[in-house]
Amino acid sequence: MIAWKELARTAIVGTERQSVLPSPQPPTLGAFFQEYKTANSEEEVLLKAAVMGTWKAAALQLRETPGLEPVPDVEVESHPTTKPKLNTLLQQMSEDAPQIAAEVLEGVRRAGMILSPELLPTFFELARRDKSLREVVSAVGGKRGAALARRRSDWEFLLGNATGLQESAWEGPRQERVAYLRELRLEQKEKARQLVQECWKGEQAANRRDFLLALEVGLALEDEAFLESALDDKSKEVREAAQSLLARLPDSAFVKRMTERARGCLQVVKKSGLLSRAITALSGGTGTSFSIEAPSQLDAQAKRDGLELSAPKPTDPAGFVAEQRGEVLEKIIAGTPLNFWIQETGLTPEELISGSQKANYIGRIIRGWELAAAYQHHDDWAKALVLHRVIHGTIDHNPGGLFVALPRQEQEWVMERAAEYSSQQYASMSNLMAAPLSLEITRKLHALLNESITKPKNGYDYEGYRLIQILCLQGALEFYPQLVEYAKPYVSEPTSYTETWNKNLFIYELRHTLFQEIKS
Amino acid sequence: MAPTFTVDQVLGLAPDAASASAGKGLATTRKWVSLCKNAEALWGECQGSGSTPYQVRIDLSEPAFKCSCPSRKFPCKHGIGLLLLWSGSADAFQESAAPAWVTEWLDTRKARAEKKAEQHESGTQKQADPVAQAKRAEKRESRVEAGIEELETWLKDLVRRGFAAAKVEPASFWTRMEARMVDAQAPGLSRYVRSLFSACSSGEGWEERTLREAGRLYLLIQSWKNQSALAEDFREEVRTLVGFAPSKEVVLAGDPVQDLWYVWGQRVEELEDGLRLQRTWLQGTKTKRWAITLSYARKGMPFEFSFVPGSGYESELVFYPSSVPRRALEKKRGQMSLLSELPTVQFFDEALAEYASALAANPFVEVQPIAIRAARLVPQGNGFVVADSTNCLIPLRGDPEEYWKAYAGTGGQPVVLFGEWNESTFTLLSYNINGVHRTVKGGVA
Repeated sequence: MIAWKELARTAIVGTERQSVLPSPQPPTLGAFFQEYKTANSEEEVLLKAAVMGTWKAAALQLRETPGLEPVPDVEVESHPTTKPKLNTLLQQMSEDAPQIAAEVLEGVRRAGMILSPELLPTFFELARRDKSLREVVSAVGGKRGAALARRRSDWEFLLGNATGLQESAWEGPRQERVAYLRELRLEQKEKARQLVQECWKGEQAANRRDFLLALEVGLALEDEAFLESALDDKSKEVREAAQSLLARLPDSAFVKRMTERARGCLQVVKKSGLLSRAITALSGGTGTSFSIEAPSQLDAQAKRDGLELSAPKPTDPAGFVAEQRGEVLEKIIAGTPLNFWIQETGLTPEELISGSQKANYIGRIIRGWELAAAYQHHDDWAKALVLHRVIHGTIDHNPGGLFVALPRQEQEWVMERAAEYSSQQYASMSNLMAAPLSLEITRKLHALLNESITKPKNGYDYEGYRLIQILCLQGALEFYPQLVEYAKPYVSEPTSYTETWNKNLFIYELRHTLFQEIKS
Repeated sequence: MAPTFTVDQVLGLAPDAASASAGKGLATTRKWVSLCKNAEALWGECQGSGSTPYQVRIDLSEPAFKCSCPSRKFPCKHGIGLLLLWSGSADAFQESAAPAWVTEWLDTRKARAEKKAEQHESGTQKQADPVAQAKRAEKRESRVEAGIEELETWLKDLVRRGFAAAKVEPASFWTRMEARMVDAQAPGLSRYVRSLFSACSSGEGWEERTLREAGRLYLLIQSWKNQSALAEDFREEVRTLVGFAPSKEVVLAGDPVQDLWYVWGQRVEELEDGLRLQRTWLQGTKTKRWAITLSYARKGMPFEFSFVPGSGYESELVFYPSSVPRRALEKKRGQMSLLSELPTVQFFDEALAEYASALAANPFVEVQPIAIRAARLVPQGNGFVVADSTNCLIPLRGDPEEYWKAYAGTGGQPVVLFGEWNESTFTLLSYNINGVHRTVKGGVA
C-alpha cells in the first residue's frame, strides 16, 4: 500500500520537515478523507494512520503460496510409541533428573519402544548437549525422529551417519574443525586424513596437535606413514601426539622399535634346578623371576620416538638422571605390546605387577602398563592394574578410563575384590559404573552408607551424602523399597540428611516408576 | 465420571514454577497416607515434615483446592501434587465416602456460590452513596478530559517532530506520559502510550508499527471527544479502553449467555509489581461466540477464574458492553465435560473475514482468535509458518523451540490449531491431535 508507506515516511521525519504527500488511495478511503477535514498536517497524519491502519488490517487477503512443500508422509513406525503416562514421567525426567536419561532411554529401547513424537525435541536437545546420549536417543527416535533430524542441521547428528557433517565446519574455529574431523573419520577415514595433510604446513602447532589426535577415531595402519612423518615435526606437542597414536598400532614400526627397547630393559631368570623348582612350587611361586630396569643408553632413533637422556643437571645430577630414565622407561612400556611381557616371562599380568613391586621404577612401570592397557584395550591387564590401584588405595589417581572401559562382568569382578579394601574407593568405582548397579553392589553400598551415617562424624559428611546419591541414582531398582524404608526416619524427622534424602529419593522413585511403566 | 486432566493442564494451574516443581515432587504415592475420590472431589492426606499429615482436597468441577498446610501459595504444592497424581495414577485413588473435612468444605463452597448467585439475581449488593458517587465521577471525568487534552498535544507534537526524533528520546520521555495518564485516572491510555513506546523502540519495521499505534491512540482520543455521537455499545467500549471499566457487579447484572464453552487456550503474563494476568480464550460450541476472561492474581495467589484448557464448561458468561463483546465474566458454572467436535474454521480467509467484521464494528479490536482445522506447521527459515488447507500462509510469532515440539507432535500433518492473530502474525497457543488437546507453552517470545 503506497499511501501507507508514504505516510510512514512523513511521520519519521516529522510534519515540520515534510508535509503529507498526496498519494493514491483506495476509492473508499479517498472519498472519506476528502469529506473529513483536518486542521493541520499532524492531525492529517494521525487520522490517516488511524483509518488506513485499520483498513489495512481488515483488508488483508491471503493468497495460495505456490511451491509450498507438500504435507510430509505419515511415518509408519515399526515399534510402539511410549504411552501418555510414561511420556509424563519422561518429560519430568528430562526437566528434573536428566542424569538418569541414559539408563531410562536404554530401558525404553530394550522394551522395544520409541519415544512419543512430542518428546523428541526435548530429548534431541539433551542429546545435543550430552554426546553420550546420542546413540540411544537416535535409536528411540523412530522414523519421526529421523524425519525431524533431517529438518534441523543441529539435530542431524541423530541420523547416525555422516550426513550431519557440514563442510563449512572445517572453515570454523579449531574446536569445530576437530569435531568435524572426528565425525568424518567415522565415515571417510582417508578423506579426513587427507584434509589434515593438505593443511598441515600452514597450521599452528596447537592445531596440528589437535588434528592429529582426531585421527584416533578409526586409527589404522594406513595412518602410520603420516604419523611417522609427524615424529619429525618441529613442535614437541605434535611429536608427542604422533607417538601416542603410533603406540596404539601394534604392527607399526614404532611399536616394534619400542618392543626391542623393552627387551633390553627386561631380564628374566627361569629356575631350572629340581630343588629350586620344588621349593618354588611349594611356596606358591612361579618359578620365574624378572626385573625391569630403565635404560642407561639409547639407540640412535630413540630421540625421534620421544626418548631422550640429556646431560645431568649440575644442581641435582643423580635425581635428574633417575627422573629421565624413569620417564624413558614409562614411554617404552607404554609403546610395547602388553603380550610381550606375558610371552617373555610366562607370567600373568597379576604376577608381573606383583613381581615388579620392588623395582626401582615401580611407579613408572605401572603407569606405562596403564597407558598401554588403555591404548591396546587389554581387559586382563586393565583388570589387574585397576585391582593393583585398589589394593594400594590409589584408585582415585588411576585414569578412570581403564575401569570404565572394562566390560560389565569384569567391572563386577573387580568390584567384588575391591569390597575388601577402602569404602571410599568402592564408592568411587561404583560411581563410574553404568546404572543400574547389581543388587550385590547396591547392598554393599547401603552397608557402607549405614556405617557412614550411624557413626558420629565431625564436620561435613561428604561420604554419606555421596553414597545416598549413588544409591538413588544408580542403585538396583529392586532395592528401592528397602532404601525407602531405611530412609524413613531421616525424612520424617529433620536431620542433616533430610534434604539429601528427599532430593535423591525423588530421583530413585522416578527411576523406579519409570521402569515399572516401561515394563507395563 | 470424574474429569481427568493432563499434566500440562495441572501444571498450568500452579501459581509459579517453584510450586509446579514442588508439586511434581509430591506426585508420588509414597508421600500420601491416603488417596480417595468420589464423583465430585479428590482428597488425600500428605505426609509433611510435621506429625499430622496435611489434608488436601480438590473440587473437581473447577478444579478448586484447599489444603491445611500453612502455605500462602494457591494452589499449594500439595494440591498440585494431588491433581498430578490423579492425572497419572488415577487407580491409586480409592472410591470412598467423603469425610467431614471434605464434605464441609464442599458444602461451604456450594453455599457461597448460591449466595453469590442470589445476590446477583436480587441486586442486593451494598450500594454506595449515589450523591457522593456522582460527585466523584464528575471529578474524574474532568481529570480525564484534562489528561486527554495533554495527551493529544503530546501526540501531535510527536508527529510534528517526527518518529526518528522520538526514537532517540530517553525512556523517561514515554514513561512520564504513561504516569501522567495514570494520574489523570485514565490507566487505559497509559497502556496505549506504552504500546507506542514499544513500537517505537522495536526493530525492523518499527516505523510502520509506530504509525499504527499512533493512529490507534489518536482514534481513541477522537472517539472519546466525540462520545455523544457514538452508539451506546461502542461508547462503552471507548470508555472501558480509556479506563472506565464497569464494575463486575454491573457486568454480572447483564444478560448471561448459556453455552457449552470450550477452553481453547490460556496465557499468563507477568505484569508489574508481582501481578499476573491470565487471559483465557473460550468459544461457545452452540453460539460460536468468542469470549475472553481476564483474571488477575498476585504472585502465589489463585486466579479468580480457573479454566482448564482443552475442557468444556456448561457455564453462563456475561459480556462487558462493547460493539464486539468478547471480554466476559463467568456468572455460573455447570458441569465440566469433554467435547468430541470442536468449533473451527476451515480457511484462514474465514477467520480474517471475521476479524474484518469485528474491526468494522470496533476498530480497537487488536487480536482475533483463530481455531482452524486441517492446518499445519511448516518450518521456514529460522521459524515457522502456518498453512491452511489451501496453502495460504501466515507467519508464526513466538519461541521456535516450542514450535518444534508442536511440529514434532503433529509431524507436519494437518491438525486443529488455535492461536491469536494480531494483524500480521499468529501466536500458536494450542493444537489438538486426535482429540487430545496440547498446550503450546510460551506463546510469545
